[in-house]
Amino acid sequence: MVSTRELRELDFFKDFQEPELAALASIASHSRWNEGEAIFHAGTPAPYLYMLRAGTILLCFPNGRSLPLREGGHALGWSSLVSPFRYTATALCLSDVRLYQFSGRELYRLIQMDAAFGQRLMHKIAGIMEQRKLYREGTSINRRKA
Amino acid sequence: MYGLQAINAANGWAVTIAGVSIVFTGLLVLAAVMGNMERFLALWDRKGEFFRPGKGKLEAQPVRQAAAPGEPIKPAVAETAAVALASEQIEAANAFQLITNRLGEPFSLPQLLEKAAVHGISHPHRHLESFLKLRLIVESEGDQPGLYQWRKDVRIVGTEAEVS
Repeated sequence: MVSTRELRELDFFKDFQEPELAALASIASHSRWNEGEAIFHAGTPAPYLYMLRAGTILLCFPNGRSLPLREGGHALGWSSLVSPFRYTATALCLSDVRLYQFSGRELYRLIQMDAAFGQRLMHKIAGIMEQRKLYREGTSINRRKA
Repeated sequence: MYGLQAINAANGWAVTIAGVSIVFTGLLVLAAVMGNMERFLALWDRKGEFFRPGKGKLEAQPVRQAAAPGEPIKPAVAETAAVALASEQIEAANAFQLITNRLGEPFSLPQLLEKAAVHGISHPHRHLESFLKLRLIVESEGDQPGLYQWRKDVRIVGTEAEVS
C-alpha cells in the first residue's frame, strides 16, 4: 500500500491536490529491482508509469545516448500515457532501486474522471518529454563514429 | 680418448656453459615478458593515441606566470582534484578506461556496460554508478548530450595511500 504522504514527498507531485494524491495512492504499488536488472526495454509495450523512489537508473536510448536518474521523484515510462504506448528507452538499474508503479490503464481512468487532474498530469509528462527529447532524438553514436 | 679427457679436448665444458646460459637467458626473458604482458597489452591498446594528429601536444601543463620585477617567480600548478577509491574500484576504473580508449571519447554508457560485461568485469553497474556520483565520468559538454567522458582534472588515488 502506498500512502499519500509518500507521494507528497515526490517533486513530481508537488502541484497536485490532496484528493488527487489519494486517488494516485490508491492505484500505486511498490516495485523493487536489483542492480543490473532492466525495468523495461525500448520498443516493448508500456503498461506502467514509474516514479523513482530510491536508487539510480540509467535510461538508455536506442541511439546510444543515456541519462542517469538519481534522485527520487523522477518519472519514467511516460509512454504508458502517450501513443503508441511503447517505451522509448531501456531503464537499467545501476543500483538496487525502489519505485512507485502506476498502471497506465488506471491512470487513464483517473484522467477521464477528473479533467483538471488529467491536464496537470499531462503537462508534467509533456515537460519530461521535452527535457529528454535531445537524448531521444540525438544522432546515433554509431553513425557519428562512421 | 674417452670420458673427461674427450670432453676437455673438444671444449665440451665451454659448450655446456654456453648452452645452459642460452637456455636460462631465454627462460628469464620469457618470464619477464609474461610478467609484464598486462602492461604491454595496455600499451598496444593505446597505440592509436601515439599516431593521432596532435600527438606531442601536452595537456594541462603548468605555465610559468610572468612575475613583476622584484617578485619571486611562482610556478603555476595544474589544479587536479584527488579522488580516493578502493582497490576494487581502481581495478574497475582501469578496466573501464581500457574499454573507453577503444570506444573513443565521448563514449556511450550502455556500450561501456555491454563491453564490461563481455570482459567479465564484476559489478559494472555499481562501479559506473559510483564513478558518475564521484564525477570521474561526466556528461560531454556542447552538442553531445547523453555521451560521456572521463574528467581530465581528476586523479585517482588508493585509499591505502590516503591512510599512509
